[in-house]
Amino acid sequence: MSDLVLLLLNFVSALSVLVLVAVSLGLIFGQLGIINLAQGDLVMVGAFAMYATRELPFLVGVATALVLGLLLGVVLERGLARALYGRGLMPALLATWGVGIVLRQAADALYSSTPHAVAAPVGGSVGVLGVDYPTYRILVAVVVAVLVAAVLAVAYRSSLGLRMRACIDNLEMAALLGTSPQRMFMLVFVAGTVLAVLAGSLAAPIVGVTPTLGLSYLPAAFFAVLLGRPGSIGGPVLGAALVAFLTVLLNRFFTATVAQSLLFAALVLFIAVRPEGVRWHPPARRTRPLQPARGGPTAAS
Amino acid sequence: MAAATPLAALGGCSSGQKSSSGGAGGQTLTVGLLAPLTGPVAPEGKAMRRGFDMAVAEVNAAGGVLGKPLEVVVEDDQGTPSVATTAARKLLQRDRVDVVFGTITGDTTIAVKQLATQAKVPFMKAILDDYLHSPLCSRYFFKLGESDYQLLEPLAPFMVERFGRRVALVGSDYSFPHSYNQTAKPLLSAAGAQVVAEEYAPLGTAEWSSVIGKLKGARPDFVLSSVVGGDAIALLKQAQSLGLLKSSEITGVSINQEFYPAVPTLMNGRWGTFRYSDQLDNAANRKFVADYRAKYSDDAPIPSVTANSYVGVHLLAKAVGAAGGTDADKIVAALAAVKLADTVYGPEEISFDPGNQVLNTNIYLAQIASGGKYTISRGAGVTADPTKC
Repeated sequence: MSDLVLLLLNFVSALSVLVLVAVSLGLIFGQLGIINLAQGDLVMVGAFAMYATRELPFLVGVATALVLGLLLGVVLERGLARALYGRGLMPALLATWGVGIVLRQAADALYSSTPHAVAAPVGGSVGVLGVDYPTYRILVAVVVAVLVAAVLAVAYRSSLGLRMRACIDNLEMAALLGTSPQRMFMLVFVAGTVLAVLAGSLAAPIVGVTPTLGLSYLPAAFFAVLLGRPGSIGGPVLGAALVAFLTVLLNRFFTATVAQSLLFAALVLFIAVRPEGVRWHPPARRTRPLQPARGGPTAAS
Repeated sequence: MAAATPLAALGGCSSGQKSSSGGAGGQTLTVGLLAPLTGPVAPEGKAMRRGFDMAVAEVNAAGGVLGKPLEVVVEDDQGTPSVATTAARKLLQRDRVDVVFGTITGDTTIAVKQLATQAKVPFMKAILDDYLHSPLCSRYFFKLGESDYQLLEPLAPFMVERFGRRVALVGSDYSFPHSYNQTAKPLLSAAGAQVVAEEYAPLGTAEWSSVIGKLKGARPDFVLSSVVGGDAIALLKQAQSLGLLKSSEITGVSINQEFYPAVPTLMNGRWGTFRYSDQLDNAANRKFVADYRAKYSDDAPIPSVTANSYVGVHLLAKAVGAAGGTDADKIVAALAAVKLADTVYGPEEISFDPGNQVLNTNIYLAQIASGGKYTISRGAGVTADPTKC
């Protein structure tokens, strides 16, 4: 029984940071059609923000990471993303990979590649159903759950979310009906950036903070996004849950390296069987929705 | 007095204006420094270069080698074998260096050792390595770096005696940790230990809870960890928070001074073996540390590779002086026979092992204390590496 509880707790822990990265990646990919290869490095930025403010209280560090994420999001959207809309897959891949390189090299120049650490705000462990588990990890799981619930609530229950999903489905129609694409793009890109940076700041006390930290999260996050319908916001959440579940299960029975190989093999198979999870669409050029818009009666076709 | 002049800037080409010799028979000793100045192992390359530069400056300030300043050509191998091969060829054929010095990663070492041996030019390597499982024997190859065996041989019986017989092995999943554990296992069983778990995780693993769960399940008395880099910090922190370190001691390459600033409370009181620490108390080391701190304005612990390259250049200078010329065979014979006492390692005389040309020095057993300083428990004597050449 305690074995099962431990597995469950490990699953929740594995899910926590991954789901934030996946949702942020999915938001940017779904809304803007940009595959952001620097998403993992944004996580790293959040972790280093915590390291830079390690003398200050934990929440101050998180707030710093938030502000940094906001600024970075605005700068990147204005400076880079704007030039990439509708340009195609390769320019976005190259440009965002370049951003990732810049971020990693900047971190290396500022902090060197010697691994650093950040103290957790709460130590010790707490008993969960008879198993002792680190308190901080439970805390992170709770915070992430609230965050994801908030994101989903905004996406599916607010008018802002409705407009965002409308933009994803049919940008031109949404624009004609009064939603500014520019502002929506900026909003979504910044939201994606902030979520990734936040994920890094929450993960910092658990891991070793190095410039290449973000690369550990990228493959799993990509698979989580690809498992869902493109443009879906809830999709990456379910995708992340599946990836985390498989990860924990495989690691229970196999060595870490074999488990990782099997995980990616399974995910590749999954996606091969469900190809509609993989199609990429240019947001600016489509005139017909890929799927019918959700919510409300469909207009006369 | 002229200090050593690097004749080639980072990645730049030699201007070809190097005067007299290089190659066979001339009187100016030219050393080609081949180090990863950029790339993932640049910190180790930089650390090696610091010791090298310090020693060259000292040698030249004292009159140089054979009456002439020691000359240096620097090349960046970027830590990759293809670049290292090209750079080594350039050093050997264009610059006609008398000695090649450097490389950090195992694959670049193999590439350069082959080229140097073909060109019949001595090659000295400063960073620690495993020699048992990749012998790289050649009369031209001099191994300044301490070996895994030399560090594990005193550590295994000590840990078993102090903490218990059940050992868990954990490492990053690439060649070094695997050969580290291959070296450790016979030493552990000779000490009466039983390996109860052996786990590896790929480089870049941030989440260690599954591995830690398996280690905990095996109930080890101590853990021997060859996890490297940021993964080591993650492992240590998570081992602490998940309760592994409550019942098990931990040692290995993950316990080192470099990681101390990141996780001081986790490191305090942990045991390890080393050949060099800036805390070693002898006159030569006190001077070396003072000069290093003054020259580089760096208060961080001084890594072993810096001391190794520093001593290596002094060994080379003494050997060439004794050889009386820069002819390769003379240098090789002189290096094989050279002895040096009162080094930064301590007062004892050090030399290359005649069987495998590994540098034999004292190894020390120590605990990490507050501030990251090593508190030496005892000297473990000179350990010879058993690699057969």
